[in-house]
Amino acid sequence: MKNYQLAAKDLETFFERILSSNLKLVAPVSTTQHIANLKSKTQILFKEIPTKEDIKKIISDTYTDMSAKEVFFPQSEPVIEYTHKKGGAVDIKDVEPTLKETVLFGSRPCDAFGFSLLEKLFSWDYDDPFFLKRRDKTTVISMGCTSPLESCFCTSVGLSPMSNIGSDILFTPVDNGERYLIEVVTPRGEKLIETINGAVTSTTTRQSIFTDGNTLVQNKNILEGKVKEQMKRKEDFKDISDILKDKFDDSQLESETYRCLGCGVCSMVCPTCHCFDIVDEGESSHGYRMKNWDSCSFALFTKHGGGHNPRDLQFKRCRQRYMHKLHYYREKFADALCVGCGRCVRACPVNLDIYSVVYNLKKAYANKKKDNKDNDNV
Amino acid sequence: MNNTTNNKKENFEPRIIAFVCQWCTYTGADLAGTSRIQYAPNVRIIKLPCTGRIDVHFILKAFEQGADGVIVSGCHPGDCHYTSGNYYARRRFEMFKKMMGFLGIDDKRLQFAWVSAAEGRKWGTLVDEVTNNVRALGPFEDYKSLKIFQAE
Amino acid sequence: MTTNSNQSNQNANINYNDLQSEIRHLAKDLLESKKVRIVIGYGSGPLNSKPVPVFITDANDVDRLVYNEFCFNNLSIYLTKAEIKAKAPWAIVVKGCDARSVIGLVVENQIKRDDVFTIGVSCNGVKLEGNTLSKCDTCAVKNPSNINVNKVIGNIKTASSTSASTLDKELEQLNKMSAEERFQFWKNEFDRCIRCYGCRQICPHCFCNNCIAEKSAPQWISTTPGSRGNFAWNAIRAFHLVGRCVECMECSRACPMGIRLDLLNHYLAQEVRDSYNFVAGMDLEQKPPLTTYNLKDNQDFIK
Repeated sequence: MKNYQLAAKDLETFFERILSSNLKLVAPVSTTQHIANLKSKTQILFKEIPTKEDIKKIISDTYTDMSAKEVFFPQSEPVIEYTHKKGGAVDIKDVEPTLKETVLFGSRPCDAFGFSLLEKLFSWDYDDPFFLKRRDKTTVISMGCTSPLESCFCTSVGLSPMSNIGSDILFTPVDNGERYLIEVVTPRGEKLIETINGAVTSTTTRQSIFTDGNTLVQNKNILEGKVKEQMKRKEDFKDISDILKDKFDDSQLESETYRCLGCGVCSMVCPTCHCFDIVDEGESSHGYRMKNWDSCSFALFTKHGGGHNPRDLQFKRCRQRYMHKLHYYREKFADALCVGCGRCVRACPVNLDIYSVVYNLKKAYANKKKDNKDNDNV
Repeated sequence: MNNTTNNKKENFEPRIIAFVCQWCTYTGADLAGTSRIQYAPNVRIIKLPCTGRIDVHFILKAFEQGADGVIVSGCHPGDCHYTSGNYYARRRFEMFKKMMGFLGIDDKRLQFAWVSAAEGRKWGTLVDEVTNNVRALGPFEDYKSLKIFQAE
Repeated sequence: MTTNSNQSNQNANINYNDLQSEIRHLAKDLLESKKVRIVIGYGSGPLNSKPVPVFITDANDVDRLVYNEFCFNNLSIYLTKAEIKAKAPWAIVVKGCDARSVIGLVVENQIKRDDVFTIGVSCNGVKLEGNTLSKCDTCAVKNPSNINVNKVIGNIKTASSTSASTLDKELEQLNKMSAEERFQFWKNEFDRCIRCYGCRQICPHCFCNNCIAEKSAPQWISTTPGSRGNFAWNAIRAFHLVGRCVECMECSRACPMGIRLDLLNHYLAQEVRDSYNFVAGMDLEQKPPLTTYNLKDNQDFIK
């Protein structure tokens, strides 16, 4: 696939062309609300950019509070609509997801990797049309990271701050942010580049805003090495799967997760958590069957109709979350269900930190192994 | 409840839900009927054991389901069949009314009253008054704008 | 949620090392003398400046306890957790605001006062991401000696602030708006809710085993994260805490979407104070106002 480059000053033109090509653009914006002098906490979220005037609001190189999974897998969506008709008949029909060709801009390489994990899951034993159709209609443009946060650990799960798995196009700011190296990863990405360079109408044509990018690849590779070096959290997650398998009943896992309070923040902000709840909403005459995000941290998640709850204590729910992410999913799909974005670490009200849990477990396991060896020698 | 027919303000007929206690206000409303007292037909009465039993969820649910106004009524202080149910309710509703006001709900849409079994006329006047107030305010578009899900 | 005040200068007067070693000594004594089985305190977290709740059961581990100006968690939430409840008697490190929660739990019969040994630490405001929390502006219990704690650690004397707090000013703003504007403000806030229930889970006073939001027959609150369910959930959450909320504002801090729950809590606490002359969590003998009544209660609003 091809490499291009784009001058940083042309990024707005790039967005304008996406909009004028009749594509839906979703990008990170700050959502601080000011009503009178009342200010909400500043948040950066993925939002649709409806008009050219909104382009100025886009924060192109940033870390969002919520992941971009909701572009494909919204927090809440109707799947069935029902209407009671006169005479007792019920009209039930499937709700088709509203689809529009979409460009998702500004996700991080970790987010994009998350999409590829979700894709495996949603096309595993059953093809989930909601997710797959949306994914099919969306071009993902990721932005490589040049200044990872303290809580980031993508290298631990085998990624890099500039890896391109799951993206259709990867932007990397090089030369101190003066220009972007644009790596086209998939045919879908190539198609978007063609669209943007293509004719506006039959009479006017656009000038290409891209130039050849091959010369920048070297710069990117140097930068990638540097940024990887900067990252503080580097413990490899590879062997944690086996350790967790052994440590299911280990008291250490319990004590590490003892402070979990059982809210669902971690699942809601996670780019790969995908559990959902099915609920009926509406009145007797008309309503919807909804698919809403759920979280295994909630006590209600496993509570049976009769009142019994097999995961009766919070550490068991928390353990389930880690086991699923780092062991069960890996057994089935070869990859861990954690992309190292660090959102759950930043959002947790009691600072429960998946990275440090893994780190501590690995350390304890290594010590135990060493002790065993010493004993064997004796 | 489907409210499409009376959404226009000019010929708007408010939908009022009344949560009443069975000992005083319900009997009072009964008296209004047997006394042939005319009052607005916009009210739907829901009978409960006591004002103390009237949970604030009922009120929110009524608004969610299309009510334009809510009346909560029971025995006068000192008359509660269960001695003190209405005293607890009085505190609860004072705070609830304040909170709803703070959240931006017009307080004319939420009326509390004491109507005894002998006050059929008071009941009629109360319903008329609330109906007129709510009619003047128009349909409760604010609450109706709260959709079940965003894309609806 | 946070204010840049000049309190950081005053904080310099507090010697956190002294407080910390005093906490450790006390914890060691309590565990060794078997007065308590578990000490709930703050420990150093995996990331800088973010202490985490720790649970110490072994007197040899007391050095894991830390104390600094970033200890914002209200640890009393753990007293009602099943696995910790089973380990009574406990000792718990509390700031003044947290001590009020403990009292609230005792008043509501969730824990026995004798089961808990409160280590009350003097506090001149806690910091989150560099800023002192706005709840600390008007704190009346910086030195917890004026409320019921077992042992006071540190001795700061601060004159109660005379200027209006940030929260009060914001509340004034909100009260000046028209009802319509206020509705839009709150709709805007609640619409962002993602129903993670962080506000509920972190609240020491949300101790119901079956939350109203989890009941499905009948379902009072729509669980779908849309305007309708969000409005009902946030209104009911706040209402269920009327006269019980001690304004530790942990819900507001926990909220990943930054919803201004602190404003709603503060408004209701003020109204409770004005109407019933009651401040939650200050007195072991006083019942929460909505669980009792007075024959002379106001009924101006009732026809």
